[in-house]
Amino acid sequence: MARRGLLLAVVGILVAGLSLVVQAETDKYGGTLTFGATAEPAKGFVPILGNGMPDLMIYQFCAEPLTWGGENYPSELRPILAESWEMSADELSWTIHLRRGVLWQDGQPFTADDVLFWAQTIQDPAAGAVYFMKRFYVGDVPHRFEKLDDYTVKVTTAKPVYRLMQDICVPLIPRHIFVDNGITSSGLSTSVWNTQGCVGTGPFKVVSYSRGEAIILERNETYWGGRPYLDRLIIRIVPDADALVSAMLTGEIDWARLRTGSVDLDDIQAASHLTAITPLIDYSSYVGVNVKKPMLADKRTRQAMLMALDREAIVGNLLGGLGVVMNAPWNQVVTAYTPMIGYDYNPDAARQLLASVGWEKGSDGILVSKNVNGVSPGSRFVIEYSSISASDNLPVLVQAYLREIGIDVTIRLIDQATLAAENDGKADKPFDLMRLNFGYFGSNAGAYARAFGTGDASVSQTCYDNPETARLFTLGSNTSDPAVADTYYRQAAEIVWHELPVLPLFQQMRAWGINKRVHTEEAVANPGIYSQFEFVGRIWVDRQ
Amino acid sequence: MARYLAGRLAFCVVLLLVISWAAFFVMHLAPGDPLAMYVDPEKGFLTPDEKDILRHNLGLDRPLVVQYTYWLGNCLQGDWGYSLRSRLPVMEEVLDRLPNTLLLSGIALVVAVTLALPIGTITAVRRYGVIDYGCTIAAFAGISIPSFFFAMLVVWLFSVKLGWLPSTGMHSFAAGASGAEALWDVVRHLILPAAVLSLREVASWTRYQRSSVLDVLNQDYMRTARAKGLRETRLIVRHGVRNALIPMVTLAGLSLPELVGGSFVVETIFAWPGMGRLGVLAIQSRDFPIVMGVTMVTSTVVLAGNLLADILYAWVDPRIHYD
Repeated sequence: MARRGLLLAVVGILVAGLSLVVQAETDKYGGTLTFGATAEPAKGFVPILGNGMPDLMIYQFCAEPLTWGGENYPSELRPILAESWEMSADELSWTIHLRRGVLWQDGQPFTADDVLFWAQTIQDPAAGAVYFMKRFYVGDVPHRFEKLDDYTVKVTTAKPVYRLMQDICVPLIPRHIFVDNGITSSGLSTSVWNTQGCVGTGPFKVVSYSRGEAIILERNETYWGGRPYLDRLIIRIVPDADALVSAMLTGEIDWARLRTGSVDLDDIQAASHLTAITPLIDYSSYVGVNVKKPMLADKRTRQAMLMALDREAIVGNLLGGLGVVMNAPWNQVVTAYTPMIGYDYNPDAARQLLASVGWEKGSDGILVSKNVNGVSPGSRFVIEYSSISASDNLPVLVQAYLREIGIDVTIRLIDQATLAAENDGKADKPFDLMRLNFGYFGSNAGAYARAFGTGDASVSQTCYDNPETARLFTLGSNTSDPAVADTYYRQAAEIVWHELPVLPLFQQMRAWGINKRVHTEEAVANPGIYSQFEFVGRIWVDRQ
Repeated sequence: MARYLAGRLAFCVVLLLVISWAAFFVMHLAPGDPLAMYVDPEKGFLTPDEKDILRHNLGLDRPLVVQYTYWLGNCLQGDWGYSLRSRLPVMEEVLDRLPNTLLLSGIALVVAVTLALPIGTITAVRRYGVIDYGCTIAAFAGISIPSFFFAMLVVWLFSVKLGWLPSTGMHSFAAGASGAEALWDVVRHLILPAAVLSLREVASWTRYQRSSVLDVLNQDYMRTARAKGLRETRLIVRHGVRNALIPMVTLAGLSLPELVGGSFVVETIFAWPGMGRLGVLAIQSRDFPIVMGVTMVTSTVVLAGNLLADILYAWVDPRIHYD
């Protein structure tokens, strides 16, 4: 009798425990989460067209690529809509096996036909998928996508492309939507699917877009990765950063990016219902130097300029401490990153270096050319910093630090469009100094070729055309083993670090304000990249 | 009157044509390339090849005169082109936001008139009294406070501290809200931006109305009416206020475009999805079709505001005839 009672008690406890677990799991379903964004989609909802913050913010909820591992996604190569893939023995083709049972948000099955349509659309210049098009080509030869069966695709490339699966990490688009509605590549961007909301395979679908105000998304009940917890997601467009913080304080917005170097973070941390996170991100800031200008052509001059900048103090003043001083030409996200030494703040050493170049101190403290190569004797060291933002304090700090070693910097305020029109595509760019930001390239250093390895002054933002770095970047991109490729990239990094076509300043942290009712433990938040969650469907909120 | 109106309308059409021509060419004189703004500032740049593809796709590689002729021809057929930035039809972008701006400006205008006329009249009638001094101080404060500061002040007080009103947007997007609930939702969102937008108008119009009523109070016909035994309240309302309205009509007519175009700051701070925000964003990103759309709509509103003011003159002042 006693034994039966004990058994019943144990069963009762188990049932109660189980029901509590089930209840806790059930409680996660439902609710609305509101994100704040300062801009609305710039290129629209078709995910092969946009590659900026407001667009990617939406793509991460509704659309998915074949794999992760490429730009904008977690760096680990992981199957998403492709289940597996293999390279052929001759290294010229890949066979990709697609995930079965995936449905588009309108209920149609996802098949190899979609992959072919997606690739051909990106390859078509008329579609305007300019950010990704070149990754589907080797030189001028497009990769050939063939359907082997409904769930198998063969990709043939003109030369071995070892990072194909990372290169083509671009969200898929549904063939039936565009073909059935007679939308051609040239009509893609103006189609209602781009302007109102596209159909994807992701955990949430766009249900309405109130321009200038909000985008509403609802749970995709047929999502292959399991039923998402949230009923709805709202992306509120609040262009003013102060208003965004106010909306977080009032509880109208649950999750938003904050300005760094402002009081936003203090305001958020002071509110009992909010918290803030500040991850280090794949984004770095530099002072770009025009290496073709005679006064700036000598690498020792650029080395002296970097030594004259107290970068620790700049991080403190400019970013409120939300950053780390760079000790390599690229940031710590890159697998080829190796910390390098040199260029600590040392104005005396900087002055000596400039003297060795042939500069001497003038009567007003500004350096004068004595025998600087390419600069007329008697010329004063006066250069211009082109700044596109009146609120950016970096030029003022750079001006003050360089004045200390005798370089007179004038700040020219110029709008971004004009600055680009003056410099882009020209081998003899007029600027002397300007702020440059590189990042969101992911872990592959090969992406930095566009900054340091073009070998072409007209393409390089700083007119840097060193053929040796161009050669090393090419070797890296033609190598199948990522570890071997990184050895080439490290060699290139050492050259760049020595020659300094840019003055590396800091890798930034991003600040996010989050309402404490939001739970992202299962979603694996990764706000350092544009796709901020690994599993968007696993976000849940406390509901009052 | 009909002939006058027809003439004015014809003049407006010619003027709009000239404005469109001037706006189009002046805009293209500005340095900078729309494609330079096509790239997310945090995400690198486009190569010259990539830019050429985009330039061709967007029709920016044609001669300027061809672009204008093409734009005008399409415009007359109701096709205002596509935003270079969002690829949305310009007509849709502008007309989507115009009602929101008109709602906000309209309510602000109503609030301004409703408050400024009685306050201005009362301060004139009771000049140099406590009410007059109080309202004068308040009016000068209203004129002096920048709207962005006043906006932040009311957001801090009524949204953050008291939690009475929402601080951003036009809707809460609550699931299933409809009918009266949805209407009340819009009204709640409208209160703070409309109050901020109308502040300057209330303050300045109060001063204009006071001065205008004071002028009228000293007129002979007011003395005559008073001598005939008309009650003071009736005298002020029937003879004083109506005659004092003429300069106010001019002010209101001229303020209409200011309210429509000048609501940018308020629209930005309160994230109100209006046209002012759209226009400034378009200028920054060299989005020529949107700039043209906003310019043409704003010009139309300015011309309509002036026309309306002229018509209202005849209504408030029987001495004015348009023959």
